[in-house]
Amino acid sequence: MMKKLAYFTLALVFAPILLGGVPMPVQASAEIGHLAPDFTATDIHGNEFKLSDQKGKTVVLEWTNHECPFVVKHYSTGNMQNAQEQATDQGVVWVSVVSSAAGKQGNITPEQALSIEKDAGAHNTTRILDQSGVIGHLYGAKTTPHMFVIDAEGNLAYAGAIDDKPDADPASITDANNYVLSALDDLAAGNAVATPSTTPYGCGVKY
Amino acid sequence: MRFFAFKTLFLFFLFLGASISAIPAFGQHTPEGPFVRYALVPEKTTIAPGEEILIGIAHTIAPHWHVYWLNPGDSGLPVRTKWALPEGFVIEDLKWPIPDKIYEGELANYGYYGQITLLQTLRAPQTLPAGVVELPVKITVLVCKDICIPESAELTLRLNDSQAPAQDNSALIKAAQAKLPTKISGDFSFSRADTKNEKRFALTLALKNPTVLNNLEAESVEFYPEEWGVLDYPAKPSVQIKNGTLTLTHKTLADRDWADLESVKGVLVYTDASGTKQGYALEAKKIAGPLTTAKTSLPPDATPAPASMPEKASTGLFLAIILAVLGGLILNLMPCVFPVLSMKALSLVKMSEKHPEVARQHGLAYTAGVILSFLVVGISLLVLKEAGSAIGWGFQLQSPVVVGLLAYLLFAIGLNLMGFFEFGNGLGNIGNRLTQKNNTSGSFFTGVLATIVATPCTAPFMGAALGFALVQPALVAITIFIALGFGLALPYLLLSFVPPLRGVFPKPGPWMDSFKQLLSFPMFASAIWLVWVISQQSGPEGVLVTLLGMLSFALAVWLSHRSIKSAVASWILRLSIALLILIPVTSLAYMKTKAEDVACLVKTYDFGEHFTPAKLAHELEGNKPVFVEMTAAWCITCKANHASSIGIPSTRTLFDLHNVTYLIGDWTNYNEEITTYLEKHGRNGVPLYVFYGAKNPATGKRPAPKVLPQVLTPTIVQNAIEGKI
Repeated sequence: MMKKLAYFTLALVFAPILLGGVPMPVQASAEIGHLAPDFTATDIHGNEFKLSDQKGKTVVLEWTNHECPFVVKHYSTGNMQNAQEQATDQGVVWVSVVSSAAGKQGNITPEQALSIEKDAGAHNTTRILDQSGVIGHLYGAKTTPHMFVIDAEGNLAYAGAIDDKPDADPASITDANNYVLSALDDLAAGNAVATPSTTPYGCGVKY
Repeated sequence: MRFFAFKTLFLFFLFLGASISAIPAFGQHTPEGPFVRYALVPEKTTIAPGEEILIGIAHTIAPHWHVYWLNPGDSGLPVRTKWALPEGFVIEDLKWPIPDKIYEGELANYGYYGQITLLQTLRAPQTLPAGVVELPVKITVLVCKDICIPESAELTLRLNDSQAPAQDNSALIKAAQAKLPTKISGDFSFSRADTKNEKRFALTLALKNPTVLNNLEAESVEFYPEEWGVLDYPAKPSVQIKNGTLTLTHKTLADRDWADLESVKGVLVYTDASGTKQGYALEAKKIAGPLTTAKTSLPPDATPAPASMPEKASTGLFLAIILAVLGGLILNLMPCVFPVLSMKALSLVKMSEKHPEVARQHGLAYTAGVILSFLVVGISLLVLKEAGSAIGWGFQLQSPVVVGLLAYLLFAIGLNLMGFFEFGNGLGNIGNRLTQKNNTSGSFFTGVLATIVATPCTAPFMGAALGFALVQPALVAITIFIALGFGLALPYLLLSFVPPLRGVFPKPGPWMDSFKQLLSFPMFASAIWLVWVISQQSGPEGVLVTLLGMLSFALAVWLSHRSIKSAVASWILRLSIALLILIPVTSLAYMKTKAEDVACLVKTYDFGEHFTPAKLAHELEGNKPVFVEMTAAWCITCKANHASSIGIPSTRTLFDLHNVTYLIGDWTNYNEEITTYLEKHGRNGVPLYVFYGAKNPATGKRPAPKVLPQVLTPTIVQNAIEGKI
């Protein structure tokens, strides 16, 4: 009897998968001015990354999808790489996150990620492949790119777009005001972030 | 080697399903644009000094793709126009038609499918140069399906060209204006109305003309804001209408500081009695929260019932429960379920001769198995709908992986009934085992099995009950699912509780073996039908791989029954069986890929045309009557209706005579456009038949669209076309 019950419970567990997969939205719990949700993940170099271990340093989370036209705009012009370099030179930890689910646009293996970063000349600290979308849901990441800045105490200081030009045209980078770099400047000067939240733009994250 | 005990087989199928869902499609669909085509449609082609004319920017979007509204929602970019105007000309902001709410996975956006026309007002200066006026414009859009592609086009509008023939497009412009939201006046305000569990946005509309609210179905009302950071887009609002005031509360993410947000413009959308989407443009001013309405205060976390249908709901529910039980009962007669039920019934009769007291336990265990399984299916459906999936009943058959799995399962059961192999403790054991006391858990699992094989079959009455269930609140829907399960389990339950009924059966004997083998044929027939559905979903290649999968499965079973003495040969045998199992697994993955290609194809019919929302909108702008049929390959009621009442010569002649445009929507595979259309008409599954009468030449208007019943007769169709009902 117990064995049968065990099998039936297994069946109940698999039934939703059979029915095409039940999306399990975790409630976003990232709020400006509050402690950013902690997470642990293995990055593409095989090392463990824990957000709370970064206390004392400013952290930037960059949601990305190398095939999204908006991400392409920032990478093909070198805009994102420059921002990464500027930030990491000042000791900021810059983490790129890929939350594309298996089979969806932007989903990559660690090897592919390493090669993409090498070709692009990326200056991020590391990249995390969040295939199950848990970290994306935790932060309420909606678009690629979607940027989050966490201050040295671990509080969320900025969430939103990378800049003020929601446009897929590379030419729009020229006069764009980069919200992330502004936020980092504000934090470095010991001030509150002037523009703590903006509406992000880009392709939808492919959960 | 008893390799295929029942439980192993069961687990095997479940594992198959789990692994298939994880396999990515073999290769992406690389699309080729452009996916949007444009036309500039000026109200007229001449403009006088100081005059204002409307310019229509018509978009034709490729099927399944969409562009975005002023506020695109969670992602995306709105359509943009950039005019290089000559000196003195002024162009006003874009006027947007009422958008649709588009769910993309768990995100939600506002946008358009098919054909839409945006409008802009152009004003000429007081001193107009002579000759042609050229107005170049660059249109940029982000057009998306599951991936996004930015597109742009440069067009030039030429006015006052004496060489070109004068055009009067005022009819087209009027039609485009009709799709804009209409203005209403009143006292509109918004505030925060957080509960302890959720952050909320609350909108209060005190209308100047409250009779406007009589047309609204509160359940269909939503608010689309033009500002970001106001709503959590994927959520649905709760709406209360009382004493001429409408209160709408909607979850918000509060990802924007509202301190600088003094007012919010937006569109209040709803579906009217005839099923058409309407919208009101309004601007709400911010007031301090928490919100209390004039006469009532909103209780925290309560879901207010729709104001317009308190009485309808209770009679509807009662009727739906009756229909569900009836539907479940009739399901027992369907070729997928009948063999399972018969074998179970016979084993009950045989066993209860020796152990009558256990009969009732078996009946209860079987009923529990059936009802629990229906609950699981029902809850999964509701959860998926809550998460925003545009699905309806039958959704499980829109996945070729599920259809393939069911086909394999039915085939395996058919083989078992035929005597090709035995289950450890399951259906067919007529022999000695029956005379022993079977554990009741066996009956429980048979109940689960009966439900699984029942899902591809739908019975009359079931469709109506389920369609009703899925638009109701969760508790009501679950009650109906339980009723359906109860109906399915009822015959066996009665058999187990009422001994005289068992006396109806002939005495057990050798005839039982023949009967069991006979039952394998309806099982195989059901499997064959599912393979036909696969041919619709994944094409002829899908059929080939499914049949090969069945063959390799049968071979694996046969091999597992050979007894081998040598250890090496035994291992080779096991390896071969494992490889043979791999074939059905890969076939399912292949079919998943194939289906994605097939779904985008435009179907051609010998009677009727392929439905797209754009085509329907285009036809409705004309004068001819339109008949819309939503169907699916796996929907037996749909096929029966079509064969009995639509595809027949008399109806064809009738359509010809009245110049009816006949559009067919194929929901065999997942199709968002069709799901949206079904929801517009308060439905959740197929079939759906809607007839739009011809335009009255005197008024220029069509009569309200007529939704036909789900079971058709030629007379019903005739009466609808001739306008008799």
